[in-house]
Amino acid sequence: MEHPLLFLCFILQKLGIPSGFHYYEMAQEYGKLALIFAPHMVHSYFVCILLIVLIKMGLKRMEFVPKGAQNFWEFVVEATYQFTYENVPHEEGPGKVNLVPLVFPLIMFYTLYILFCNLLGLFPGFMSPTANLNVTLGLTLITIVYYHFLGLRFQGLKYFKTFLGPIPWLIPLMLPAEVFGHLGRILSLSIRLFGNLVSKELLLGILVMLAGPFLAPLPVMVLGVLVSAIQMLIFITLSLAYFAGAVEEHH
Amino acid sequence: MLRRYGLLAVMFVLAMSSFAFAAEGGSAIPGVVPIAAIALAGGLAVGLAACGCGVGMGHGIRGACEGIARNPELSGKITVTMILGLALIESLTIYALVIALILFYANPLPGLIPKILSALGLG
Repeated sequence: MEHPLLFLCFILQKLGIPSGFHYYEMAQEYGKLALIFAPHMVHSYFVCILLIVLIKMGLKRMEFVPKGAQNFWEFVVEATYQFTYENVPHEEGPGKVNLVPLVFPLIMFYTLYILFCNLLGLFPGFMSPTANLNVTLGLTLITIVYYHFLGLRFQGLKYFKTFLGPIPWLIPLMLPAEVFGHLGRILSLSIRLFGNLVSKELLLGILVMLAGPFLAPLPVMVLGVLVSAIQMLIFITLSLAYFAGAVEEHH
Repeated sequence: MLRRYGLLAVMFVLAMSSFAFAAEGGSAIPGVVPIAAIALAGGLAVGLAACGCGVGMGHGIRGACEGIARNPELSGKITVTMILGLALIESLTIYALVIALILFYANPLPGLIPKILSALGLG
């Protein structure tokens, strides 16, 4: 299929930077700049800068009774905090773990970044950075490395004993199953987000080709908004489930 | 047991013979992908995955509707759980779609199937 027209890459090309699909695919000739300013990277930088600008504008004057933009961002932070609090062990005490301060900033980042990335693809002239497997694989690897780190930190080297199962003579059955399950998590978490967004773009492209550009894609775009929000929820729910599962006591 | 599964086994063996036909087209020019087999594989992949996905989602939604019918004040939580379950089931069809896309656009196998078949002595 053909490549879309992207406004950000077009602007950067006029400024002299080799940014765009054509330059990305022949990156050996154009050097490192073509890889740094690849189309999905450019849109990822755009989402990060947009988030920083929006939040700074909304929090310019903090008041005790919030209204306007401050109200909206406080709602987002409060909702994400409640969600993390419910899904992750949060007791305080000598034998218990409190994961919420270790996990909440990462989940907050995932929420805002993934939601804004997914929704960016619905604007004409922009693409979702998460429609590229490199971006989703990066986010997945953060989750994977972090939950192994949390398991090792809270259970020490006994963490590897949880892979062996409850009964000693079942080890040749349990160990490959657990290892493949954990490897499958990497594939599934990244490909789920990637596949949903790529299928949305493919569907929109085919519908425009078949039925014209103006009214036909609208129902699919409504579905696209829903899918973007739901996939963000699924990603953070699964991340929280992995964090909680790595830390719990082996039964 | 042969009576129940005999027809299915015969159909399976006949379907396997399509590999031989695909190899004739592919082994003539090394490096060319057998397009007919790939088109069939892509269509079957997503079709069969959607079958299983539809059945699974139907069971899930049935459970959610019965739960809401019994206990309407929990409908918020039940709806959220249902949407979570539906998205996880849908991701299985998306895996099949990704395999189909890999076969169409980033095929790692040009000339590999004919090479395997000629090594086995069939091409």
